[in-house]
Amino acid sequence: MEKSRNYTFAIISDSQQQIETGFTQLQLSADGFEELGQSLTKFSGIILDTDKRTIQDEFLYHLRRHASLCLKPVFLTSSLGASIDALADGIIAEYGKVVDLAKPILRRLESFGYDFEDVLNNPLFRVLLYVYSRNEAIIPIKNWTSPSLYTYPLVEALTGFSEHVDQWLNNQISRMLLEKNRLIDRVRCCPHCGLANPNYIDVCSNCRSIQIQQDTFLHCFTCGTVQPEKDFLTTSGSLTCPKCRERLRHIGTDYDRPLENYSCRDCQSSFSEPLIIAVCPRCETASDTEELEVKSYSRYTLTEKAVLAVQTGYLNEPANLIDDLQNVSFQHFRFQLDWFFAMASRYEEEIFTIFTVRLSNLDELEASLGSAGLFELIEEFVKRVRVSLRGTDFSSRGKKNDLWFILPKTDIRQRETVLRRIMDFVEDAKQVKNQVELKISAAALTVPTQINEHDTPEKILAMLENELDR
Amino acid sequence: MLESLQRLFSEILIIFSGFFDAPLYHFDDFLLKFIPFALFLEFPLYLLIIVGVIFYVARARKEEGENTDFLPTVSCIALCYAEKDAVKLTIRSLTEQLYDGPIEILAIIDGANQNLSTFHAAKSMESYVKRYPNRRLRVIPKWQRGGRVSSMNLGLVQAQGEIVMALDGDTSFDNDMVYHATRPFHDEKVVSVAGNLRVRNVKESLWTRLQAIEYLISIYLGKTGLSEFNVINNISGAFGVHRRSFLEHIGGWDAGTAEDLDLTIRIKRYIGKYPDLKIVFAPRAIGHTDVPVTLRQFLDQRLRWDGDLLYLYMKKHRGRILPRLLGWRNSVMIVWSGVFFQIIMPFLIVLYTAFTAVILPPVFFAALMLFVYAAYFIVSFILYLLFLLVLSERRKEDMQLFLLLPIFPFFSFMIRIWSAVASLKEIVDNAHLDSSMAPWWVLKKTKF
Repeated sequence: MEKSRNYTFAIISDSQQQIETGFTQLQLSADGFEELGQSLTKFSGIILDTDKRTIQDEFLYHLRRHASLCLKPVFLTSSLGASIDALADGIIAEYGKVVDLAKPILRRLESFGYDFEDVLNNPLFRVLLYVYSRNEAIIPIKNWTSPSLYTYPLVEALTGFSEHVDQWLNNQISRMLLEKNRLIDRVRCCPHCGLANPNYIDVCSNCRSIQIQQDTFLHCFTCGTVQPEKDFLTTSGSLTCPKCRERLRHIGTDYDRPLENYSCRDCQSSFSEPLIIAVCPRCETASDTEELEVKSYSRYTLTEKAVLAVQTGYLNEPANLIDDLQNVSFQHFRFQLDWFFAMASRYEEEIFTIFTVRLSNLDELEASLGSAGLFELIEEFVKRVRVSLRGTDFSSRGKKNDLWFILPKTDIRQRETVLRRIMDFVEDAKQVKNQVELKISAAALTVPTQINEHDTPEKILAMLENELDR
Repeated sequence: MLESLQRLFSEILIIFSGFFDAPLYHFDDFLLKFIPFALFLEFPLYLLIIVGVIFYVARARKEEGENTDFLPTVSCIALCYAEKDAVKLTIRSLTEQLYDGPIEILAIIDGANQNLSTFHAAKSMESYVKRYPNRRLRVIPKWQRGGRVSSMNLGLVQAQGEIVMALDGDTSFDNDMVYHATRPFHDEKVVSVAGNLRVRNVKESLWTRLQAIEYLISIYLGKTGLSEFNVINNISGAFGVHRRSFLEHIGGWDAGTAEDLDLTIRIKRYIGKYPDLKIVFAPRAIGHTDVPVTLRQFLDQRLRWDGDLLYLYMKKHRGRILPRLLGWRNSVMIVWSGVFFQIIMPFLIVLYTAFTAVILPPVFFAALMLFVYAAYFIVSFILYLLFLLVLSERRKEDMQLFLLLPIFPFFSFMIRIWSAVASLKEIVDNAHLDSSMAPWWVLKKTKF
């Protein structure tokens, strides 16, 4: 591409300077990201050269949140603290260095065969594209002023969420777009408000009062008395038993410390081990240490699937193919079921069959076949199902990618034919690719033949679901 | 048979009683020179001790409760080798001192590579010591074994206290030890203090009981008395207390065996130049140490000690025990109580006994032996009684050893003979190079 040869950079600073060609100086007014924003889109990258911290801070957040600017390489001229630096692409000592640093990022952004601006409205794509173009990982940044101790500032800025980032990242993991790479730290948090690093204090094991003291006891071997050390008569260089008046000279021979005990000044109870509790400095909740929430912070990297999504601009999830069956919503399916059920209960000839199919090992298959292989397999499966059905049959996608069908006017015998055809798919698929076997489980019920007097549509759904879970 | 035996005994008794009626009657001139030699040379020492002890008691009574606020910082260098768990009791007894001043415990593990269990035992005490204010434990592993001297000098370099104690890793201490060991240092002229050692495993065998009596008479009573005249003849390596500045000044310990006696002689040489400096014995600073349990172990230990003694007096410091260097008082004491008592006298006793056994008729010989025995028994009895009455702080326990006093003279006699054997062995084959106190490659390098 032609434009790769002459990259242009905007320098945002508060003072007028002599600058080289390829750089354009822009002024940043105190109120102003909005007016500046549009003019920045034409530059390849941005250098932020200002000492005003608040401006830098806000500017970077705005930039990373802005749909068409969020992927721009941005450089700082001095460090602003780890959590702000994380939003930029590096710190440069002189403007001239910027080209070398920005080039790899820009090259990657140019390498896409589609216009990525189209997908940037999707926060997920912003994150994936950003991470991909930087060839980096999502790294937790330690910030002692943050209640959770660690934050993912880049994800926060790109997605625009300031909370539930952990949850969001976990979702991407279960969608197999991100994977945990290296554990950075483990933090214990208040189970009530989530504040990291509560204060640990030792308290009375009986009343949880903090007013505890340690008492040491001495045991006189001569007369056997065991009393607190303070009751023994100690002067400089001599220790005497209060009871038998024996001089106690040698530890282990004349006397010993049988126990070290704690006593509580509030409830007067005596105990050998104080209880350690964690008190949250923010919400004051006192928790037992085992109640604390343990949070792990890791680096996240893109999976093969995420890279594919970035390169094609399209996130293909195999389960989405199931929607090619012209499914009705599950809500509508439920409504239909009620209606069929009512009809069948009244008129015996209104017989119908409800059945459900679950593809239970998609994850496993993806791991073994790769995304593309799985796609093919699901596509085949959907084709097979489609030819087995009649135009009047209903299908819907329920929880866990379960497929639900209502086949009107279908008795047990006909139902078996349909089911066999679908189940045979497993055998057929195995001959093509003899790797991990697709696991299909199915459950079916024909109404009213197979129901009791007291059955309801809810009961039927629950029964079938139970059978799948088995 | 029985009759003749009876007659023999009555003859012995008659001759024995004759010593008291007319001592000179039975012997020719030659023997006369020898019979009382032991009494003439040894008994004045006992008299000196008795007088010294009386002085001490009078002085101690007067000084009791003085300077209780003198609390210098103390570093205890515990020399550990293969003591294993015994080192825990040492550390514990030092931590539990009833001393308001700061105590630093330096556990030096010599050859920690081979003695990992000792190292771990010492390490395991760190958390315990940490709970006590004013107490600090530092476990210092010397991975490669270097011997006692290198360990003590390393401890001296690391020590921060004004007072430095060199202690054995298997010796434990009464809780008032540090308090009493530091009292003498209030007098600025005191440079070193010898600590008192008791036998910890008294009850283990007859031999440990006899050694306990020996320790009580020769260390507890003997040094208490001698100390009053500033003529302490040895500061035990298992329990020596020094002013750190002074010890550094004279260069710490010197390579070679019997480094404790060596240091004592060097300190005394220094005192020879500055006669108002003092070495003091602190009878109330008490350590407890295990002594050999069997006769065999006991003899092995003495063979080593007495051999080292000869090595030190006759080889390393030969020609230095001069009044010019040590001052007349210390020279006389070293020659008399050190060189003479501990080295020459054992030979004389062996020779004299053999000589009388040969030239005297058996009955005379037996009577003579009975006389000598009686003399030693009476002396031991008087000394031990004095000890019990005025010094013992554990009177009830020490009283139990009283019953063994009748056989104590035999034990002493055996020690003397064995001492002669040890000296002979040292002269013949330089036995100190076999010392287990340092590896041979270290001893080989020393100059003597």
